[in-house]
Amino acid sequence: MNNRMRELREAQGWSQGELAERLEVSRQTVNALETGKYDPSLPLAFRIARLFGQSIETLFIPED
Amino acid sequence: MTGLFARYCQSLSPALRRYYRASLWPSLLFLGLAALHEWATHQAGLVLPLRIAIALAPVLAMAWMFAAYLRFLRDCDELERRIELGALAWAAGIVLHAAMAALFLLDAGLADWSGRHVAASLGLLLVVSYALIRGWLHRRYA
Repeated sequence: MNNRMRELREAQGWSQGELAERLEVSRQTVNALETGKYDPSLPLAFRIARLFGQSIETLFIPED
Repeated sequence: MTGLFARYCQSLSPALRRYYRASLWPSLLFLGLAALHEWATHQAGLVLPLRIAIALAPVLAMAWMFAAYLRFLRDCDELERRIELGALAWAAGIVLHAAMAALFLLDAGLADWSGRHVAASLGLLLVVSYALIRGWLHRRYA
């Protein structure tokens, strides 16, 4: 699954570490999410969407 | 070297840092009790209950370490938990297959290993396979 996390994080001026702190996850998890190596659970996806003020559908884009 | 270590510590998640801190004392206790056990095996004059207590004491330290690990599993984030559970599942599967192979080889009279060596080898295999698979999974998600 593709996502707009990196774009939105950079627009806020946050580092991966800062975003990790805000989401209460490790920096490795933020990196894996941004590079599409890991798809988040639904609760984490909602936390990310809420943090960026976006809906899940605009943040996460299915590949097909 | 200190800077490299500090950078490594900063790269760890808070849950993993807490786990490393929490497992320090049980690890040291385990080493101490294992040394005591080694010493006790060479003492002929110890009474049986004391020998049993000394032989089983390192297991208590391991249980303390395991409790810290379970707390880490509860507190870590979902990707860390996925990595840990994946490594544990693979390691358990590998050890189960090795244990079955050893059991059938011993049962068929094709191997002549002592129970002490089989148990130690299986424990070592569990730790090594867990560490290697955990490292591989971390690289995969890096």
